[in-house]
Amino acid sequence: MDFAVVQVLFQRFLFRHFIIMNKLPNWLLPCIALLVGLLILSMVFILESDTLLRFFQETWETLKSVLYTQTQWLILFLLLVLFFLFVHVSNKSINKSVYVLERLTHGDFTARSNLATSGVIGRLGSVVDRFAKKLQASNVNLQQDIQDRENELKREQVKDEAMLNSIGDGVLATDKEGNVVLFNKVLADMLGWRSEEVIGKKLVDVIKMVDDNGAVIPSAERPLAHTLSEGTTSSFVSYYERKDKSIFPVSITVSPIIFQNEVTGAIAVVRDVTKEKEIDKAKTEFVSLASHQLRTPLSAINWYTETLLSNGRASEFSPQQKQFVERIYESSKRMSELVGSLLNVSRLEMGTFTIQPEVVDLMQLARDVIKEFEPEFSKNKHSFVFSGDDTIPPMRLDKKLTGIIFQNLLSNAIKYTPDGGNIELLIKKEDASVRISVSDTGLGIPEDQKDKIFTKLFRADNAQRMDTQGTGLGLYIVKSIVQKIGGTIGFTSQVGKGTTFHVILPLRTDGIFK
Amino acid sequence: MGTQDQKRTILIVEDEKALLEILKTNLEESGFKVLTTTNGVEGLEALKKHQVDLVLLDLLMPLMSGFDVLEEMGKKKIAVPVIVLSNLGQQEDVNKIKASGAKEYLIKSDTPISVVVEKIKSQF
Repeated sequence: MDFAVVQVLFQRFLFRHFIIMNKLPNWLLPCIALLVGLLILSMVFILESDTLLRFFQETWETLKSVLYTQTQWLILFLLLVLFFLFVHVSNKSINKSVYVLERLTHGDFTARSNLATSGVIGRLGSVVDRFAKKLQASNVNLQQDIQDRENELKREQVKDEAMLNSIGDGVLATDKEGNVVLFNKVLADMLGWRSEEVIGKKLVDVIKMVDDNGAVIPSAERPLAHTLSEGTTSSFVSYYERKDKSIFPVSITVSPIIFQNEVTGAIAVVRDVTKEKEIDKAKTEFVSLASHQLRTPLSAINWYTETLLSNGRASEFSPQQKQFVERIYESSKRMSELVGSLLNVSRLEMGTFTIQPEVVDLMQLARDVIKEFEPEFSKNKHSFVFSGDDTIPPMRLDKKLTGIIFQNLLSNAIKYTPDGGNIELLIKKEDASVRISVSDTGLGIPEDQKDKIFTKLFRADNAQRMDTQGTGLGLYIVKSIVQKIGGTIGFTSQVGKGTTFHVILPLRTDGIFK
Repeated sequence: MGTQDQKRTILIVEDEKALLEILKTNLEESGFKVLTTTNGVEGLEALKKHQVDLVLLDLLMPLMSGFDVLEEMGKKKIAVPVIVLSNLGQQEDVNKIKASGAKEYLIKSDTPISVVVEKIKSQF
């Protein structure tokens, strides 16, 4: 057995023993001494006197022989007796100090030894008492501190809750597993759930999200899952299902809660956009209806002026009259184009721009559009180059939508390139996509306006100065279409040097459009 | 049917008077004989009474729409070629018209009248 183990066991034995000793009542030891004395006296009376004398004589002889032969053992015995005597005397005092320490380890800071004796044991007692007193004092302070902190935290929590409940938008937070930890009142009212019914549960299990077609979005595809796994913020518009199963449109922004570089949860701000949707729909429907109604009188103006300008009649006009009619015709055609653009925008926004994929030869489609623009190129003395790629297989795509992409990009290039400039259309097959690039040597897009160029109705300053007729819808429409069909659009541009727009369309022969 | 020097007859079904007249003028100047009606009911009657070579059909009209005219023609097996001329540009309208067997679908405000005449000529 290891010596240290023996030591520990011995210490524990002593410790227990002292504790027990300390707990014994003070009158017990004198009583035991009295009992032992009485026992010896009775022995003296019971035994005969000579027998007793002989017993003492024999004992004395034995003691003497032991004294002469076993001196060292006797000394040791006497020392042991002295030692135990000392232990016995100091026992109770040490016991008291140890008892105090024992109480301290159990968290009782009120225990004291109250030893008034001098010497080492007395000092030990007073040191232990002072230690206990200090501990008690700091414990009181500590508990006060903790209480203060708790109160402060509670106040902050109440304040935070009041703030979150006062926000006009719905707010919810989840832990990293997606369990709801916060669900404010606005959101509760919006969804018809009480906060207590949702908190602690997985958000995706309680609140369903559906897409435009009313199909339930699987939990793995919901932005919350994305934010929790990727740690990115996302904003989107979708539909939530209320407790009563009704659905309504919401605009949601989900952000990760990042603590020490780790996603520990997510917070979502939810806004009910029913009104906005209604207004948007009404606005778009109005634009659609108005544009439609405008088309009939515009057709009449177009056809009458066109007829007036036809060979047989134009000769009857004076040069000025002819010029006036030409102006009417040009303006009316422009108006028709504008109305067409507005209709396209409203259809894209209403989602009624249905995609009609058909097998199309992209190169042929490009050539058809180029043919439409040939008179424009020669009118503006633009040198036009078309670089195609005959390895592009027939693709399933929407002819009309793809045509609009070509038309808008080419018409912009023509509009914003000075006479005599160069315009190039390049179509090239890349790995799993087709790249369409339209380059010009035109005005270029000012650096500070590059981020707005695809915004609806936005027109760059230099474009507005050069041509006052643009609508600010062309690039918006192109981008909307490209996005709708799963492609991407970008550009490089330098003011005074020119611009290149490039559209990347995914190449899928089984159906490029979703 | 008619010989080369006999005039082709075009039936226009169009409720908008201004458009009807300018179409008639242009088609007559291009050598066609033109019949005009202003709704679907009249259009179908004219088809019964007259020998028509081509119908120029509007879609949104009172009494009977162009869609219904096409349907009736299909039911009665009237095999006269039809060119639809309308300002409805919605894809589903276009699909419906194409399915009904019309030869062309032209958007009025996007199509110069010279192109309308060319498309008609190209049918013969």
